[in-house]
Amino acid sequence: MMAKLFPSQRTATASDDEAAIRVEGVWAGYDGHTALEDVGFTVSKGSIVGLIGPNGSGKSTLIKVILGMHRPWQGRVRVLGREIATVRRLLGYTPQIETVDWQFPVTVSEVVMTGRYGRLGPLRRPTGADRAVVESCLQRLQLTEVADRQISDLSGGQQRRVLVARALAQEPQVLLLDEPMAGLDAAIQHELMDLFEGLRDEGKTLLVATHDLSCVSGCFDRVLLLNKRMVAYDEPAKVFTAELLNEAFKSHLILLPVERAFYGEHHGHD
Amino acid sequence: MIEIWNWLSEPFQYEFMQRALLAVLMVSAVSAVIGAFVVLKGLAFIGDALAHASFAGVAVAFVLGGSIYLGAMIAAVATALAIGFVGRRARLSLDTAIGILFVGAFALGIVIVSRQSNYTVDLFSFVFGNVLGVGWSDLLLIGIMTLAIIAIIVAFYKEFLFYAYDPEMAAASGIPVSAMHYGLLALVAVAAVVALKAVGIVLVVAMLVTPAATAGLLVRRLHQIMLVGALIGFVSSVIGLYVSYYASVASGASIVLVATCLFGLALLFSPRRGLLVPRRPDLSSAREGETIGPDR
Amino acid sequence: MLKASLTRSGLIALVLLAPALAGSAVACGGSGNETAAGGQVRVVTSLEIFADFIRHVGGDRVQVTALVPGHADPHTYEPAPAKVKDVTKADLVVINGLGLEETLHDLIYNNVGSGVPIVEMADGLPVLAGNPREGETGNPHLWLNVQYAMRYVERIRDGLIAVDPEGADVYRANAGAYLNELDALDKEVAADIQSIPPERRKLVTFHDAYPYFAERYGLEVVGVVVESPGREPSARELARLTDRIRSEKVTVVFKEPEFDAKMLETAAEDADVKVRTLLSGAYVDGVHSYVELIRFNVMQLTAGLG
Repeated sequence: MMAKLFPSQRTATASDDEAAIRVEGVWAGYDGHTALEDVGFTVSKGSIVGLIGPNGSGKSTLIKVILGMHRPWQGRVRVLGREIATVRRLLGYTPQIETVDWQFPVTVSEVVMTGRYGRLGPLRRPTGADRAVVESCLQRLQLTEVADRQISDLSGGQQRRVLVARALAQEPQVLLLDEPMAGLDAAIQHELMDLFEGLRDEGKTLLVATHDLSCVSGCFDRVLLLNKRMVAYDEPAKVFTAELLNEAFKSHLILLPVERAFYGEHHGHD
Repeated sequence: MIEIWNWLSEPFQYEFMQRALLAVLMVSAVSAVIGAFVVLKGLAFIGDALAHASFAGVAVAFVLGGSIYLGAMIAAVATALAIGFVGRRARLSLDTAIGILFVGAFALGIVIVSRQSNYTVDLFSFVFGNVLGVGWSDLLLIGIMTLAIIAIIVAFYKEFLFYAYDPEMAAASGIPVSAMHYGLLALVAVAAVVALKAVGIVLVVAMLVTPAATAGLLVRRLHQIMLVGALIGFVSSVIGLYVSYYASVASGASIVLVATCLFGLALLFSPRRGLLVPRRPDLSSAREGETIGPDR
Repeated sequence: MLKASLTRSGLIALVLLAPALAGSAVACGGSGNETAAGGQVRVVTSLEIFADFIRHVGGDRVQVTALVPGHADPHTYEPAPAKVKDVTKADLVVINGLGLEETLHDLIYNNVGSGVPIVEMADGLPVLAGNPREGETGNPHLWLNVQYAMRYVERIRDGLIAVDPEGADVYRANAGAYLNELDALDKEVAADIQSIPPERRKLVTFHDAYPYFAERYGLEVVGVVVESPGREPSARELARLTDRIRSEKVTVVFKEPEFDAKMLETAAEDADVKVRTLLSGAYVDGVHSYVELIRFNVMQLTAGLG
């Protein structure tokens, strides 16, 4: 039964050095409240993994553990085979949108440039090379037109794209995205997903956390269903069953009997 | 023409006016730079809070027979750090933390003073410094402090910017946000105490907030807010001193009133946010075919 | 973008500072101490009543400025630039000392011309309640004892003679006359207070300004609300004060016009006594000099306690 639920884990040992992210036996939480129970999985390089679960399932915590921003009670994490602290530069991250002070007086391009600060370090000013990277990230996310606009003047979709652009500006190998598509309409979600697939095709690894089971979820290479514990970790088709989804979402989800549409053709429908 | 020139230069023939001007110009500059953060991060009460908190330090220093100035500085910095700590750990908003701690510190000062049995001078007069009483040694101290604080902010400008608009991401990028959080508060404390002794409480509290707030109505980039804030501080100081001289009224308060009037003008006439400026519908965001608002 | 902002700011700053720079340039040219029109000795002091002393001694030879106007509280009053100008031009500065002018200290010491003498009138006189530690200077209100006021006048006379030797005779004559007047006042006050029955000569005041007055004229300070400026009483102290008012059978308590006397009035209500006014340095309607101030106080005391 366990083997059936976690086929990826079974094959992991054969290709250790190709694992972009390896999480082992992680228990984590805050002030006595457990957020993650015995989570362990491997993400291969050049793939997009969806981290799916209801609110409060520990998705953000897991991402923060992987980033080294939150210390787990137990367990370990390796990124690209190494300790997080040594590969921090290769990790890109978009936090949930609420942590940003959108009223602060700063422009879109300044925000994307802050993605470079981790590399620059203190007392150094951005160079032409940095500006070039920022330019290309803005282009990629179709933000060039609003580059000089204040972030307080952006729509929700634009705000998300700015955060993704910022993560890209870090020139990461591994991207961790916390709810990058929440609240966006379907067309934009598709555009973002296309971008993610493009990044994957360049060899980058993406871990996308979402509580949203919309059509794009079918585009992930693998899906990790999480609700404090791992409920399932496999291809979307195998994970999106009524039984597993119910277990993950418990009372959070009302399943309509149109599941088959989840992973049918996802292009060209509305 | 000569008349006007004489009228303009007469007050500044006097050394005390020259010193006063230098003092408030420097205080304006450093206040605007720090004030930008104070205003944008909701710390507006902190100036007043630290002034009152320093009173506890004054009282303790007095009782121990030590330097009152040093006592005030220690108390202000300690209170600032405590505010930062309570804000982070107890997850209270900073203004709540400020409100609780400064009153507590001030009350401590009062209690300590009330246990003095002999006739003592009014220790609170320490916070009633008067800009017309500034001496050259005061100016030197203000000058050093101003340069140091501005240098720190300039050197770490991008880190402060990052921390201010997205502390989580800044932390993820390896920036020591904890240090910056406490560091910024400590800088406010140092600036407040040094300025306090020289120019008094009314001026310090106002200069930390009003010019930066006024600038925020007019420009929308952090470094511009600092620069324009400093300029507004300068203008307020100069005009305020003229008013004080020719109308024979208290100087500190005059400067504050001018600064407040400038804020009022900006509030009414600011091109973006002015109350009296006709509203134009903001079409720019709609151009991309995206909805504004409901998505958020 | 940044450079443009900086340049613009710099230019505006220069424009603003131009008058100050011009003014400074002008100032550097001339020296500071031209004598006043008419050759009067310019004296600066803190309170109006001290100015009164100085005018009595100096007559037409002096021009006196009091930094704190008659009705104001010296602890919080902020003099305007015009007054500070007078400090810079002063030939002589006369203050009480003992921390009375604490808030004006920097204003005076940073602006007074070099070599200008500063007379501390209370210097050397026997001080009540204090160790000479920083801030703990003892009670400064010596002038309410008319004998000490006479010492003040003598010091003013000596100070004026020192800066203006040519006027020595005038100062001696004026001071002599005024001292006689004060001596007579002293006896008058003593007699008037004596007319109050001894068991009723009890003083409860707002702030502790009257120990010297009480000591000289045979009154007893039963209690005060505020022991030293800025020092609020604890609940227990206030309660004890009320008790003492009752137990000592005090019939009147005294407030002062420049302070908010809420607490005193509360204590008075609780103890069911009346409230009258005493002056320690501020003027009220009809009082424009030291002598009038003392007489006002005596009248209040005899009417209230007698």
